[in-house]
Amino acid sequence: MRSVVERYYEEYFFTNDGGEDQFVNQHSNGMCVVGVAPGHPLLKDKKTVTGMYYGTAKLRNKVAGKSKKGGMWVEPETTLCVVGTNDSRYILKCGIKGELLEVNAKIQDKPSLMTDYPRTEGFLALIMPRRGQEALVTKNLITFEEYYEDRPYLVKPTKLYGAELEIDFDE
Amino acid sequence: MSSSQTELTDATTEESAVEKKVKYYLTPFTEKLKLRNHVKGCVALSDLGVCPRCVIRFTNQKSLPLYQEKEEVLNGIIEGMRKLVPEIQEEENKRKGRKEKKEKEGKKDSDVQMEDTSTKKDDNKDNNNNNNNDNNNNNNNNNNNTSSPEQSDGGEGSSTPRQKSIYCPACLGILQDIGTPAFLDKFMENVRQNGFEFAKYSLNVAVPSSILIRQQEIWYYLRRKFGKGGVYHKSAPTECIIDIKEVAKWIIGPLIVKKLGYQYKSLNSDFKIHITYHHPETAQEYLFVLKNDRKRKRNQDADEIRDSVSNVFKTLRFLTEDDFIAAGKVPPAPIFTPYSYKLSFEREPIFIGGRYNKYARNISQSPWAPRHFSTRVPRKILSVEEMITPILKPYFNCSDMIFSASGREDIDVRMLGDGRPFLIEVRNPRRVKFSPEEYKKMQDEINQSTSLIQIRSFQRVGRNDVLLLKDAEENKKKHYRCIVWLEKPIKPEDLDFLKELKDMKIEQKTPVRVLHRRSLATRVRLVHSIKAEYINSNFLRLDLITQAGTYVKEFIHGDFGRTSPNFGSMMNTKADILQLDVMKIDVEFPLPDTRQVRKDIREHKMKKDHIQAKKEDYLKRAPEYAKEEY
Repeated sequence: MRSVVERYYEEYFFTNDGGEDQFVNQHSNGMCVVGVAPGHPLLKDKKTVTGMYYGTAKLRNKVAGKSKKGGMWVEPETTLCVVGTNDSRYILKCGIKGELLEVNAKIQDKPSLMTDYPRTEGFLALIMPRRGQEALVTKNLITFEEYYEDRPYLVKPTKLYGAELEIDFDE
Repeated sequence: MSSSQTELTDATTEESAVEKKVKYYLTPFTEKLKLRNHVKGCVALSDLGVCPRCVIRFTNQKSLPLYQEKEEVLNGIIEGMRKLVPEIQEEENKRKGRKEKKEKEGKKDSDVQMEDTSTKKDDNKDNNNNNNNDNNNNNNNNNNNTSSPEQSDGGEGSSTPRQKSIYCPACLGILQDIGTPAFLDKFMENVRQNGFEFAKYSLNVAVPSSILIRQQEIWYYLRRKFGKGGVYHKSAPTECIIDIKEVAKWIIGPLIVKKLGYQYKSLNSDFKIHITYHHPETAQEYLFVLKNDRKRKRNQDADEIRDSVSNVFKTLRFLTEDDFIAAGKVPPAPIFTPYSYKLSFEREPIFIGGRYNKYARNISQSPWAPRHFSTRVPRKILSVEEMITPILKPYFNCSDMIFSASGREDIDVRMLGDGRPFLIEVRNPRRVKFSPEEYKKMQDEINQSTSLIQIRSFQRVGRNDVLLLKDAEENKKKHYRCIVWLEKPIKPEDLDFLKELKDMKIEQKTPVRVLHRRSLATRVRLVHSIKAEYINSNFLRLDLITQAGTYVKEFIHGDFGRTSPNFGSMMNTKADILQLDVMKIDVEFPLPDTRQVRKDIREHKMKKDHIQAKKEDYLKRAPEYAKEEY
C-alpha cells in the first residue's frame, strides 16, 4: 500500500560532493516539498540535532493571494537553514528555483521531527516553481531510481507503511 | 360607360384619401410657427436625397402614426412642403425689407428694443436671414460664418457636382423600405421562424456608427445653410432629432404584434429580437472621428470597444463643427449600396436541477483535460457534467447549458446517500414547457445511459435557487465515511474517547494538493462528530460529520503536520486514508414546488363529489334555475 508521498509525489534528489543529500518531492500540481534525504549524514549516521535555525527573513516570509505574491525567490544553491549537531554544522539548501511559500517552523522547536520523519512532518520547506516551469525545475535533479542505484548501502523504501490490503471496502 | 365612370370616381376617392392624409399632416407645418421654420430645411434635405421619414425625424416630430404612414403619403408631405417654400421665402423677404427700412430710418434704441421684445421670434429669423444674405450686418450677430453658405447644395468645399443616389444618406436606406411589403413580408417570415416559446417580447435595434456620424454632419449642414439660431440652435442634435432606432421600432413593433400575435413588453421581457443593421460602404467612416480625437488616448482600447457605436458617440462630442467642414463631410457623401440586416434571438434562461450520485472513483464533476498527463493522470477524464448536459440539450434546444453544484468532491471520492444538489442554467431555450412526466423521462434517460452516476428529483427550479446551493456549500454540514489505516496497532477500547468528541476545532493550512489554485491560509474548522468502527488492529471505518469546507483527507493523514490536530496525532500514531465517500449533504434541494403543493391541496379539497353535492344543494333551493344548462 502506498503512502501519501508515494501516491501523489514524484521523488527527486540533489546532493553536493560531501554526500549531503536532500530530496525534492514534487506534487502532480507542481508544488515542491524540500527536505533531508536518507543519504545525508544526519540520517545515515543517526546524528542528534542540537539546534537549527532558518533565519528571520525566512520565518517572516509571507505570501498573499491565489498567485501567492510576496514570497522570497530562491535558487538551488540558496541556503535554506543551518543545522547543528554535537560535532558539526550542516547547511541545507533549497534545491530548486522558485518562490518560497512556507518553512516548517515546527522543527525549530522540535528538531527531532526532521530526523525521525524527514519525508513527512519533518519537511523543511514548501517551494513553488514559477508558473509554467514546473517540469523544468526538476530536470537536473536525480531521480528516485538513480539515487538508490548509486547508493546500495541505503535501504530502498518500497512499502513504507506495512500491511497489504485484503479487505474490499466498497460495498 | 358607367363602370368606367365609377372607376374614375374610385380612383379619385382613393387619391383623395392619400391627399387628405397629406393635408392633415401638412397643417402643422403651415400653421405652427416652429414647424414653419423647418420647412426650408426639410426641402433642402430632400434635395440632398434624404428620405421622407428622415426629413421628418429632423423636425423632431414624435407622432408615431406619421412615421407609420405609407410611402405615398410621406412623399406627398414633402411635395407639399416644397410648394410652401415660395410663400415662406416671400414672408422672409418682406420681414427683412421692413427691418432694413427701420435701420435706415435710424430709430431710437428704446423703440428698437420694444420691437425686439414683442417680436422676439421674428427677430431671430431676421438674424438668420441677415446671415444668409448679408454678411455686412454684424450688429447682434453671435455667429461667425466665414463664407457665404448658400452657394450650392453640394458638399462644402467640393467642386464636383453631387451624384444622385436612390439611397438616403441619413438612414442608409433603413427607413426607406421599412414600410414596404417587400421588406416586411420577408422580415416577418424570418422572425416567425425563430422557434422559441415565450410570453412577451421586446425589440432591440442596432445601427452602424456611420448613422450617428452622418446625423451630426447633416445637422451641421442645416446650421451652415440656415443659421445657428432658431430651430437649429442646439449643437448636439440628439436632443432635437428623433432617433432612427426609435422610428424603426415604431414601425416594426406594432406590425409584429399584428401579424405574429406576439405580446410586447418593453422592460424585462423574456424574449428579445435583435436587429443588427450593416452597411459595408460606410463601415469605415468612424475612423475619421477617432483619428481626429486629440483629447482622449484610445490606443489601449481593444478593437471591439473602439469600433462600437457608444464609443464613437462619446468621441463625437470632442470634435468641432469646423473639423467636419474642413474634411468636406458637410453634408455627408451619398451612398450607392444598400444595407443589410441580421436577426438574432435571445431568450431568458430557465433553470433545472436535482441531485446526483457518483458511484465511481475516477470521475470529476466538471470537464477536465489535464495539462500534464502521465501514467498517473490519464489524458481525458470523464465528468458528471458531461454525462448529464449532452442528453438534456436536445430536449430544450438551447444554446448553452451551465452546470453548477453545491460544492464538489474529489475525483477519487464517491457521492453516496441522497446525492449532491446541482443546477443547470439553460441558455436561450427554445422549448420551456415540460410536464413532470417529461422531466421524469429525462431523468430516466440519464440514469439508464450509465451506471457511474445517477440523478434524482430532477425538475424545474427557480432562478434564485442557485443561492440555496451556494449557501449549502459554505454553511451546511457534510457527512463522510472513510477507511483509515493506522501505523501503530490499536485495540477497540482506544476508540472509545471518540464517542465524547463534539465540535472539535482543527486548524488546516491550505493542503499542498490544492495550493496551486488556492491562497495559502490557515482555516479553522469544526469536526462535529466521529463515529469509529474497529475493523482490525490497523484499520478502522470512520463516520465523520464536519463543517462545510473541511479537508477530510488532510484531517486524517495530517498533510505533513500542516493540519493540526489530525486523526493520526489524536491516535498518537501515523494515519492514512484509503478511501473516502460523501454520505450526505445536509440541505433540502430541490424545494418542493410550493405552487404545485398548493394546487394539489386545492384539487384535493374540491373533490368531484364535493362539487356534486354543492350542485345538488343549489338545485334544491332554486328549482327554476335547474332547467338551465351550465
